[in-house]
Amino acid sequence: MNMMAQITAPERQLSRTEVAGLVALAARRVPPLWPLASAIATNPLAGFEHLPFAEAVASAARQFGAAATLPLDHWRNWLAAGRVDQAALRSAAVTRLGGIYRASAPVAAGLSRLDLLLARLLTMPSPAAAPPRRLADDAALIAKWCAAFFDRGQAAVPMPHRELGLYRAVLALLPHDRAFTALAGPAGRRLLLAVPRDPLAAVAEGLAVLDVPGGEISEWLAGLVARLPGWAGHIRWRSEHADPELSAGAPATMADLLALWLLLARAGVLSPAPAAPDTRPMPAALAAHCGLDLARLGPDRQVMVEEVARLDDATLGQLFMAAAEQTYLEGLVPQLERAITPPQASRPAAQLVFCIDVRSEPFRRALEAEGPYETLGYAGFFGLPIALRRDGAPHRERLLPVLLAPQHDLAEAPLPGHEAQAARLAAAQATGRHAASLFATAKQGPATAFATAEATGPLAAVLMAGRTLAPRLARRLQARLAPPREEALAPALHHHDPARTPFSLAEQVGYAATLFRLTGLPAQTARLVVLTGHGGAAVNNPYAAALDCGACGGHPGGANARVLAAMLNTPEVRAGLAAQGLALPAESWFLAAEHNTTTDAVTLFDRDAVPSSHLADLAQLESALARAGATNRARRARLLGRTPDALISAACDWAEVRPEWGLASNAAFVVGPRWWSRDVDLAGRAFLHSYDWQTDPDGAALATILTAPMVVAQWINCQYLFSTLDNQAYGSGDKTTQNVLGGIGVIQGNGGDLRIGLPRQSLFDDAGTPFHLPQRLLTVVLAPPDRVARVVAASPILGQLFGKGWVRLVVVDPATGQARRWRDDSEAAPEGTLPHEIVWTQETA
Amino acid sequence: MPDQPSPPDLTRTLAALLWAGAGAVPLGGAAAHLAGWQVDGLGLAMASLTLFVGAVVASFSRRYLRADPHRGRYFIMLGLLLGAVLLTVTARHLALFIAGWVASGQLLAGLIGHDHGWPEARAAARRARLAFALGDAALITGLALLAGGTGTLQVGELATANLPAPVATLAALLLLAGAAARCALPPFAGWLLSSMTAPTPVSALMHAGLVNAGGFLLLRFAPLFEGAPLVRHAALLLGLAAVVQGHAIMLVRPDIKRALAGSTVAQMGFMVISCALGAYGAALWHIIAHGLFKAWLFLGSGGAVGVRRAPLAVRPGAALGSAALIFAGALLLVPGARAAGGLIPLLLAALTMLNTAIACLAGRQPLRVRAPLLLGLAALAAAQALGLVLAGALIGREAPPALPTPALLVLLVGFIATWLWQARPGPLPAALYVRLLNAGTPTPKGDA
Amino acid sequence: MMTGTDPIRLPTHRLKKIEIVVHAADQGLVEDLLKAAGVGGWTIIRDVAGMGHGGFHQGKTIFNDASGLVMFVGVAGAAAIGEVARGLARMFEQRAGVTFLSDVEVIRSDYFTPGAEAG
Repeated sequence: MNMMAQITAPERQLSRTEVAGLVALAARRVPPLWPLASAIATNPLAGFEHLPFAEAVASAARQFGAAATLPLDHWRNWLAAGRVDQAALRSAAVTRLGGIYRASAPVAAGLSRLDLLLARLLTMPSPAAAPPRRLADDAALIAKWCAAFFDRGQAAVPMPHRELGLYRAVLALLPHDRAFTALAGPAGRRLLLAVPRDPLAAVAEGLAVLDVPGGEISEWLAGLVARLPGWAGHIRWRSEHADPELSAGAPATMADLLALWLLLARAGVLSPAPAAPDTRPMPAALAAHCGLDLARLGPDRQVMVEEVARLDDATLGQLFMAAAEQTYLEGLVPQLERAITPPQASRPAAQLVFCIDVRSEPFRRALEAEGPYETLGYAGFFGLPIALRRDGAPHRERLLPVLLAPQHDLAEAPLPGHEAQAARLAAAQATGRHAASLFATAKQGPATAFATAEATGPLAAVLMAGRTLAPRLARRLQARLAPPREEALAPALHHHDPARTPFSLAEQVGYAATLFRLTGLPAQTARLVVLTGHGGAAVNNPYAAALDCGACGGHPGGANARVLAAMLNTPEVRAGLAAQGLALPAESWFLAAEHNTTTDAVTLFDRDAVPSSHLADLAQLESALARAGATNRARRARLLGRTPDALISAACDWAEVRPEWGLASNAAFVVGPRWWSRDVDLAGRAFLHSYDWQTDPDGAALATILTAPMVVAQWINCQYLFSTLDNQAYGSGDKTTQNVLGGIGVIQGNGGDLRIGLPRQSLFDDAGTPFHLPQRLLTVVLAPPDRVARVVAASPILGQLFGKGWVRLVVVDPATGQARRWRDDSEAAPEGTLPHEIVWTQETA
Repeated sequence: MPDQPSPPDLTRTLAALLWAGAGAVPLGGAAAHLAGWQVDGLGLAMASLTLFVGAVVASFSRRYLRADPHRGRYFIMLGLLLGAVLLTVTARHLALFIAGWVASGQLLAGLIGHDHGWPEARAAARRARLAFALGDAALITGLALLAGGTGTLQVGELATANLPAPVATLAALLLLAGAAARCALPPFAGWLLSSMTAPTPVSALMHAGLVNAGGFLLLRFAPLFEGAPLVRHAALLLGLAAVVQGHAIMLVRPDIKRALAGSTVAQMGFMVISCALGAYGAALWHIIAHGLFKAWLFLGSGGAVGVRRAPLAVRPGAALGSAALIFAGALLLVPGARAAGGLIPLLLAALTMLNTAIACLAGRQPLRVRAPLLLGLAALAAAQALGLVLAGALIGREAPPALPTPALLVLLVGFIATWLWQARPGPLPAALYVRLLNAGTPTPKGDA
Repeated sequence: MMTGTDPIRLPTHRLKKIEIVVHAADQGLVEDLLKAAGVGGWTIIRDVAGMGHGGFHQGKTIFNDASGLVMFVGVAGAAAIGEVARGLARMFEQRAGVTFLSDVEVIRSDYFTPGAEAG
């Protein structure tokens, strides 16, 4: 500490390093925002996850100017429809009022505290969803410059001085910006000359000049970060998750963004932070609504009325949400409690490993009904931390969860025997690129733009009519322009240069073994084992990648499945597995496939390599897959209010705004063997991760499942939850007025922040009713409770998610079938238990 | 969907009617022409364009706006809007013409503000209303002058009226103002550039006889403008200004929709230049083909995610070579050309084809890559030539050139020179860049 | 910067070493600090486990780089390391972590002093 005393200069202004730390902390207020081409679901409230859920929702609502609940009318409709149980709501209300004794205390004759609260919940008018707000001038100015700076390839003439970094480039241009002059006046223009050119120094000086108290700095900076969550999130993505080549020539950090905000703050033109309106009723209004005259009540009774009147919307919404969650839990958990007896083991005809994605579950159920097929759930990147450079693509794709950094770089190579096809594909792609380049060039030249429009007009008419009237025909014709990619190319497991071989043998064996260790897949595998990735299908849709596999970084999962299947068919890998005690039957063949979640078609890859001895099995499986696809398509068509055939058109119709429901309605994360959940209709609402507690004595597999796939599931759950709760603040609004910006994301209409979250059409049905019922993830694990408790206690991530109520955890004891719920930090611990110990709170009683 | 009430069926009927019209009108026009009837070629072409793009937009919108809370109102306004445009382009009586023109502007503004709970959409609608109100006032005043001077209310007769030069010039100038407002020429470009609050199909629909209605107006009243050479020169200058401004805005926009809108401003400028030069056939073809082109690009703008701009294929050598060839051709052609007005569009078209062909041939890719492209290019060139001939036949009239031949050549050189400059793009000067970026960004509070 | 002599008679340079243990999720925060202070390079030891105030911290789980703890080891001049320490003190008001500072001697001082620090 002596040393500290020596170096701490007695100056008011913070050092660059101190500022760097404070800025980095402030940046955590918003989550990273991935470009839409590789859309990743994140929790918009990630910066509030250290708070208990209810408190976080309220704080974030204040910070982002967002709603803290869905309009209560939606909840009331669900209550009427039975999706929220009356008794559960009543019970939540009683708990909120401090127990049955306080709740039933009479306010007037025949009217209790509970009645007052129920009146607020059920009958008092409640505010509707707020209309979109106009961005304040200061935020609009910064958003405009962020858009110009971060553009990746839309503008033909890029913003000047980008190489200087965001802050300095904007400083260089602001003297010419009339919008800035109009906003900040001559004083602002003078400030442009005076402020430091280094963003950290500028923030330091700004904080000193503005005299922000030392203890409040990081909160104050975080408030500025939160004003444009889209652009701040984009900066976080660039700094923390993007390959450096993607931001080459245009560096930007959060300090750049904050330095711009501080410039406006110093100019005195910071707009007041957005304020959520107070929608609470006056106590007198509540009393009147219940037929009382407040003035004629005694003072103690008035306090009781006031207490209920002062509950804010956030609290009311939380009560409904808690009731909805309880309703769901009570429907699901008892079924799982009853199902703990393993069935007689019999060898299936084939085993299919699917992604944990909620869209896999109904397909798996449909397939299991078609024959002796066993299905498993595993993270859709199949445990492979890879990046793939596709043939002809300028950049690599990160095919892994964003929690991981790529460890292996793969390239595509022609499949043996398909070299000619690969050459045709390469030529067709080169033609396409060349044509695009010629078209783009001709379109933007001052002498050539006009004739280009004229010459392309008739072709445009044909294309428009075709895509509008016969989208499926148009798609088929387009597909004939080039051979199918997956038939010509595959991600290569080897490289002709041994030094650049992506995997060592030991690594291959390791990844192969992980599949068995995490899912509990026994070594006695079936004759066919199909690793099934998934991807969506959508055209002309900025959110197409949001339908792809999140575990593959917002890409289809077929490539990962092909790589792991190829490893598992390699004799050396089999030998390595056998040495680890995983001796697979020689007759087992691993196949890769991809489930198209929009059409429910399953594409099998590399069929040529299947031994002829397995062709009959394969044929049977294929017909079962087709039948299962039809079953699931029919089910999904009902949810979308269309015919099954219309789903196939939707996948290629350029006017389609909702090709599928994606992960909407997700609610649970179920960890256990498939036989446990097999007879329960999870209705496409559950992530399913296979897990066998008997093969995981130390809980390492469980720890991995809960800290990675479940965390991703929680992000998805929170993205859907909050995008539904306030689609303007946490979602991206109406798809039909979105405007693609810089190839990276969308803005609404003419400008504003880069939009976060999901569009309205992905969450609400055509009538404007939420299809997604906002509720927190319910994780159900089949494992000995003490083992789960150990895993949770050793992981701060899990301690926070379960303890702060972001995810609810129920553990079913395989020995007794009894379910216990993890108590969150806010709940009082019954006597004789440790604070975090799992208890079964008998809420069902 | 059986449980839905009638609106979807009405939208289906609307779309079906539009598709039927888009097929029947051009065919009927051709049949009538073959039967020897007098056919209004301009009106026929415009009506066909409106019906076709309207049909595409209506079918597209039935799916695209399936979740719109005000779907019913949208389709009613869409139907009325198309009706108003059809009325405008086919009207013979002045009152109908004006009614169609004014109504289409106001309905378009209404659709720009379709999401009226959104303050920005309301502001954009106001902005469009104001621009149209100014333009419409000028147009109506101009038409009133014409009607007062001739005593007729027939559009055809008004256009060919023989009026004293000052009256004709003033009326033509007022009509030009009306056209400029509708075409988003400077200083009216703001309404178009801030209209991205409209659902995507409305932006496409604008190119079906709305934003390009100004070109139609100039063609409809072409004889009037021929009698007012000063106004033709003004139109030329205005068109040039729009080309420069719109093009430059397009180059700096980071968002797809306003880049397209900036391009529309430039294209409308070119269309007005063509009209002013007397290249009526070329102007009509431009209205049609660009309308289709831009509607297509707008409807497909959702696919712009993850798309990086293809690297420029302009090779300065190729560009210079094709420019020299074209210029030599121009020097040879111009003195002998009967209708020199059409020369600029024609030569630019030739230049585009030539340069693209050279860039395609000179590419390093193997022949199997380039061959399909050359074939495609030839097909596009053929369609372009056919379109120009057809449009010329539909218009059926030529105009004396507005500019002497040397001036035409200077204009041509101007286009080519800026193009060559852009072939090696350097960074824009900061002040200019900011001005252009702001030109496409509505000021926070400002209107008009 | 001081130059001393050591038992093996190589000229050595006295510098400061900083060791920082934080949650892997906060790795980026520390990196930002080190960069801002002008520390030219550092070593990251991932997957650190240990016992602390909050109980036992498990190592990294295989599918989540942000789980577990990481340790940074950085060496630089006293001024830069002091800067880092000051920044960390701010950070640890909100984030968990520990820091150790110590004197070290290195043989190649240029290796630890980037351009910004040199001179």
